[in-house]
Amino acid sequence: MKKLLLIITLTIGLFAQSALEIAKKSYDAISHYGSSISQTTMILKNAKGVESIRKIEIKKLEGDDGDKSLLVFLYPNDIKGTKLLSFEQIGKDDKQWLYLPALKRVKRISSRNKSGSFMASEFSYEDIASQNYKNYTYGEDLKTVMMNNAEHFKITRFPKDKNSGYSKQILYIDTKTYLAHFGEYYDRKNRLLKEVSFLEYKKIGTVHRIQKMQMRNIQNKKVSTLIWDEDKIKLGLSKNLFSKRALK
Amino acid sequence: MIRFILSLLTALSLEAIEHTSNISLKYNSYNHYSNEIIIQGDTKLQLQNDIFTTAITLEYLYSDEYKERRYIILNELYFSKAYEDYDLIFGKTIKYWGELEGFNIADIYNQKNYLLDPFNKGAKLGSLGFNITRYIDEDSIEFGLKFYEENLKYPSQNSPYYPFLIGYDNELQLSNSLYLPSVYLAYSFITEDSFDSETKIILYHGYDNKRYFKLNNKGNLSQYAYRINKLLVLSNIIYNDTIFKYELSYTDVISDKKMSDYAQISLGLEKTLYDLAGTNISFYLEYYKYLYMQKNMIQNVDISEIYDNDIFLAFRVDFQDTEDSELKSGILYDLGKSERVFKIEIKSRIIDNFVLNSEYLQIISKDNTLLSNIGDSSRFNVGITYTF
Repeated sequence: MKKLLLIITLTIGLFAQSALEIAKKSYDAISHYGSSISQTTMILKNAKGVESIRKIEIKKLEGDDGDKSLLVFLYPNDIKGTKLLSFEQIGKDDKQWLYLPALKRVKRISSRNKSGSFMASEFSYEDIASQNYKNYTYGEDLKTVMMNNAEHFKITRFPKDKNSGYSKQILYIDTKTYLAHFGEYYDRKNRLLKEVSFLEYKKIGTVHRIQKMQMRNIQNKKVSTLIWDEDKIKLGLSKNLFSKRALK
Repeated sequence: MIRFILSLLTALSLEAIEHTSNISLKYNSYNHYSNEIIIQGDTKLQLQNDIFTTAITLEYLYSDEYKERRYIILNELYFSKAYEDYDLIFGKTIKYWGELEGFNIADIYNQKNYLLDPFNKGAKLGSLGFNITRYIDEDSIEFGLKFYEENLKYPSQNSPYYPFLIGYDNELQLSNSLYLPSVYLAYSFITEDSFDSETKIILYHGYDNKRYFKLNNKGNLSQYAYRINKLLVLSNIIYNDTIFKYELSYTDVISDKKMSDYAQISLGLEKTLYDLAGTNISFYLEYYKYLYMQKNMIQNVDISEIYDNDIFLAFRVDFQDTEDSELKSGILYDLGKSERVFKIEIKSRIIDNFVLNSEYLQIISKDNTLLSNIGDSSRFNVGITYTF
């Protein structure tokens, strides 16, 4: 009887939270890193299993009105030195600039390319952008489900950005750690497009940092895996490192 | 030269922090000239010590057919120092001033490298100078000084890009001293209120990047540089997913009576359609106009004057594949003379460090025009580039 009461209490406790609150807690679990520099490797695998490699340095700076990021492409060598600077703007189109080293040109680009492939991978630009909970509305179909022997919240979120490549995303968030572990992303026609797995987290201080994530495209059978080889946070990086000046 | 650079680096305790080299093997086929095989490449080094950062770019070209298309040049060698709100740069540098894709009327700091390719936007010669930039949030003010004007080489009379009927001497003639510097002041700012835009205004005083030709005392043509005041304005404006761009210039010639004052206008727009059958396709539409302020003066001596009452239509297909395959094609069409320049380029990575590229260029010119003098009427090339 006591056990039943405990389960009921826990269940009521869990559902006392809205999907929005869970999403906020999930975002908080990976936030407050201040600034970061990460060396990453991306493995692209086509439908036949042939692999190719990309290497990228990612610098990020958290901000109240949106994060800033600077991506420096390191490999393959012919795109080495290409840089992508992005300013997230909550509720508005982001700002993006591309630096093309062959011409020494800083080129403003349209940031509406949310759904386009990032470096020919199965990750789109919106997949690698900050997953700020404010960029979504949330469904009311909150559930708890068991996955990999752990209890997860199953929440549905809808991108506010009309240029998003997704109609909805279902996320599975660990009820204890509030870390997302799995997701299903649906295309604009509401067909299952991709499955994302957040395979590995590392706790640095109080911040959980993703270390490995995999995107599986259900429609074209390609798989991309992003691995953080090095990850440093709370570096006190200056905002000057996230300006057009940093592109030269 | 390489030994000198290595000695200098050792003396300054510089440590390499970045290095990239490209080497290309290309076969060029021309319809009016002998075909050639070229080896072309560059090495970029970035070095650092406790005080400053140094960047070096070494470029080389070797043609099996045309002796003048054989060189090795130190195209960039500069020292930079970054402070909290300032950047200082001293040395031989290449700058890019421009917004449009087909031709940049504002890109005047460096002379073109005609030995490499007059139709390649990136073929430029480094200029020796100094500049200081003050940053105020996303805005900046830059003051720069260019120490002297470079002599400009052309390929030989029997090669595809030789535009003259008589001999050419690369020793520059000038209206004033070779070492009288050119100066500029550039202000870059952004606006976010009514439109999301970025604008750069440049005031330039010194030698014009456009030069004309005079017979020298050896009976050869050589370039003649004169001094000007120039105002340049370049901007991009983002509206939804379309980028509107313009570049404007007005040049007041102050040290030459044969050259007219002139103005240049260019307007452009760029629109990209994303995720079309797995590709991204960008479209470009641009218009260029050249205005001479006084008539019956020297005209049609510089490649920039081709861009007069011309439209440029182009597209770029990014195949979004793991080989980063890309197809670019465009046509420059003269609305007055019906001259056309057509170009198509394709490239794709074949294995990790090797990129296969190919290009076709065709010029359909009218008789006795500047365009008819500039180059061969068509060329095709195919090559492979190794990057390490």
